[in-house]
Amino acid sequence: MNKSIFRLIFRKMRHNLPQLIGMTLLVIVGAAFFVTLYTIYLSYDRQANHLFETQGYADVTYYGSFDSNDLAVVAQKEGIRQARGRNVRDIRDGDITLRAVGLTDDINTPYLYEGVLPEDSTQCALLSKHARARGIGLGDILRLEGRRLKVCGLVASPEYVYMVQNERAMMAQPERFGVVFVNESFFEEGYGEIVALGDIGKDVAEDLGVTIGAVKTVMQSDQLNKVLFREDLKQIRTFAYVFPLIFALLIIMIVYVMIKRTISMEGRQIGVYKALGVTDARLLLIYITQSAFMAIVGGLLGCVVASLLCDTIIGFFSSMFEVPGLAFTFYPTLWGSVILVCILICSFTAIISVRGVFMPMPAELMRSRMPSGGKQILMERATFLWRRISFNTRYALKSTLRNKGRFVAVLLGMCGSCALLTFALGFFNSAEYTQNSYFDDFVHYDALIELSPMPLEMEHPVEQHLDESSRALVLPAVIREKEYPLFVVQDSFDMLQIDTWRTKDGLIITEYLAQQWKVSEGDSLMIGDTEVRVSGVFKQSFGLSLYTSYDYASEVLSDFKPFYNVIFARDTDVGELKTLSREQGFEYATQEDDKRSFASVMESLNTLIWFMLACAVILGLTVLYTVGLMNLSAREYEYMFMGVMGYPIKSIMSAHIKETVMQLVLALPAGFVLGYGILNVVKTAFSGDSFVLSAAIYPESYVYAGIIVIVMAGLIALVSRFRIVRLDIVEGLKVRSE
Amino acid sequence: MNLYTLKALSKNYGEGDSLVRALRDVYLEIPHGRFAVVLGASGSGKSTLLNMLGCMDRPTAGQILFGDADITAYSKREMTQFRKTTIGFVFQSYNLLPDLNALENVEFSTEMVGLSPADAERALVQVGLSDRIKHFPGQLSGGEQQRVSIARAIAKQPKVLLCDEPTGALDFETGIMVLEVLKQIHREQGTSILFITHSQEIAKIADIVIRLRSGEIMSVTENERPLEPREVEW
Repeated sequence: MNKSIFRLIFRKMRHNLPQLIGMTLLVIVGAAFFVTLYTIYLSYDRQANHLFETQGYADVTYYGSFDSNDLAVVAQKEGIRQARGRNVRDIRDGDITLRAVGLTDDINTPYLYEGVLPEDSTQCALLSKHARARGIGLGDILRLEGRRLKVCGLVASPEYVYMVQNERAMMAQPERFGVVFVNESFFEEGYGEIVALGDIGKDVAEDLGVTIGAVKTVMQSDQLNKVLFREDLKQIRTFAYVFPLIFALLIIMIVYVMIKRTISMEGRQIGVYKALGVTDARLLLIYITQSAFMAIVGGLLGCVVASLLCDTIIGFFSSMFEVPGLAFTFYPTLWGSVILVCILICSFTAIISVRGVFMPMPAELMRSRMPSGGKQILMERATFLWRRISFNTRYALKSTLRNKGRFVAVLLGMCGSCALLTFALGFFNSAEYTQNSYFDDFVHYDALIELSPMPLEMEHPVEQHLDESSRALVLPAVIREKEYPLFVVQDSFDMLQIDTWRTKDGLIITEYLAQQWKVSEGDSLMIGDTEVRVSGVFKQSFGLSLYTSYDYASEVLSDFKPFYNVIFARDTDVGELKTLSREQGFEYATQEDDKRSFASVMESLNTLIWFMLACAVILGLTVLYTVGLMNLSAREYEYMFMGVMGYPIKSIMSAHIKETVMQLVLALPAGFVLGYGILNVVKTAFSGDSFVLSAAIYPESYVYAGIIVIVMAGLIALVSRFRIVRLDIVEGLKVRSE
Repeated sequence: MNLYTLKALSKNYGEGDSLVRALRDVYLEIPHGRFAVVLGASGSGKSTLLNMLGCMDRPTAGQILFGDADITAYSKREMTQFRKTTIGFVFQSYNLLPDLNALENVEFSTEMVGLSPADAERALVQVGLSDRIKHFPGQLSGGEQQRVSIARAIAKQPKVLLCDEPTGALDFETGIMVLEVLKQIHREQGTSILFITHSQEIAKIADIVIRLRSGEIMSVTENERPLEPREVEW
């Protein structure tokens, strides 16, 4: 390969260094963002799967009341390798719920961080997250139902990778919920659960469940712990894609404009290359290598930055997931793919921008270019107005619209960074809005009390202490192979913002579920083998459920008994509930508990949003700097000539700033709309069966996004001023005359 | 066999009301190994003619034979190859690559035809620039830049040197120096040279003078005794 060509390419790169650095920075940020999040996604996925495998996460779990015969039936079933019986019991001590879990050999084995697993009934191993939150260490004593248990081990568990207490509390507070692994001798005879390992299909597992009289059969993939973990990983992956996509679009735009501009400025030089016999392929090489080199350097540095960031970000996520041994992992394929994509994007854009120079003959390219014809702008037609504005403003107005490519580039740069900022700030707003609309508008109760099922006509003793209450029965409803909580409510039910009267002749379902199932009011649904009518659709953003009345449930559900197992309570003294729960043996959760659970989920997402906000600012600065630099270098001669004519720097800057203001006026509204659009697209990725994010951007977020972009544009204007002041009139004119 | 044979060569630019007929039905024969000057006023079609001869542009009509090869029938790739191997260009505005120094500018050309860096250096010595080879175009005077341009053109040992007013942007003394270099190359290497100028005086150094006006050949004359560059004045 021709050595001179590469020498030329690298000298040209040195010439364009500021712009190339700007673009490389964009590639770095985009690649770093993607690689960081994707590495986290892959690492969590791989490490969690490793944990599930090594600790023997049960492939199927049966819930009910079993004896050793039932265990034997499961163990002997074809496809089952191992089966164990165990007991699990929630023990409440004031605000704290400790879940005592019987240890089972080889299945759901806790992962030991420190110490040993309990060997007798005086010892226990504690979930490390809970131990950390409460400052409990090895050798400390825990009191469970009057028994003293010495903490002999601190552990993680494949069942609690995602710290989920139950369907309602998406993410338990580690200081208020913990898991204690105890010797099976802690419990009485019999088993509350049978856990098994093996290759067994869901239908076969469920049939086996019926055989042994299981109340519920749950496959590993349907375990709430795993479902929520997967959903969150999916969200991280979505984030990983969305943001770099915007970066890619901006990179394409900047590379395109930059190369187009370079080619237009170097038209004569390209003619000389051709005259000397440089082929089209080599010509392409000259212009494509700069972009490709920038992509390689940017992509590689992005990966390196990601490797430095990963551990910190993983640290933020550890409040959400407990996966032992998680640290930065180098994925060569990921790095290679990212660098390759960067190269392809930049090179392809370069090819598109360069293609115009292949056709013309050298003589055509070397001919002096005619000065571009001045065009009237629309405003000039309004002569009355046009004549009244100053020359400086008229010049600024015409300059803004003179070069379409540069104009669009600046506009897109401002618009893109404004959109990302609006989106990121809007994400915070959406989380707050979703929380407020649920807890302030949708929920009208203070506490939800969970009981053992009781006939509807019987009063529970706790009700004597409640000012306002409403009974309901929560049943698992299997719809399209997924389980949802079905609340059977009384006619007078007013603890949630739903049309209770609609429950009389059917089920009311959330808007999200209706969209997922593609049903609307009047359609029917199958709960197991039973056909039910959808009598209404409502909005709910948290803990998606179905609601019906006792009358309708009695009418359509076979074996339905009018029982209740939850009580919604309003105007309740939570302190008293705490005492009563201990005396009467029930579980309860307050609205505050749910709020905290929601806040924990959002806390982890906030990490991502802050990361994204930082990237949006870097992006904005880089795009505006790069495009501003291009704009400035294209106008240098003009500014120098204005200087020769005696135009003061102040007036040149005034025109320059007016241009920026005009661009901002056009770019900001477009950025706001685009940001809202991105939020609406992304929100669907954050919606699942347990949580629906509502897109909302508060007016102050638009203001903040606008101010940040204006400040960034101001900074760039300052840099421009510095460069304009330094312009050497004589040298500049000499260069031009050559 | 002639170096170039032009048959009914025409070149138009634009169309309709803005049609410009830069060359009109030109018939011309240029023999091998001669120093030919194309003389004409601004807008007479000199540069257009040179562009056609150097495969830098395609004619609207007519034929150009280089030897017996019809270069007007060449494909784009063949035209590129022809420019690379057969033609050396010297432009009025030098057209050096600003990012490469003198030696590298010449090497850029020699490398393409498989010659060594020593050939590039030799060409620079030949034009009297052995002490300026590491200088960038911005650090050289106009005359020096033009000599680098000549070195770039001759280093690849072309069959023809096409010079488009190479003294146009130079002062008299520097212009003479450039003409002497070209004459010396013509004399020592036997390279055919086609030299475009609007100067009657410079035309006196040529073997053949082709006069062009409004795109038409007015006359082709031979100088009985071509002058040396030092003998002319303008």
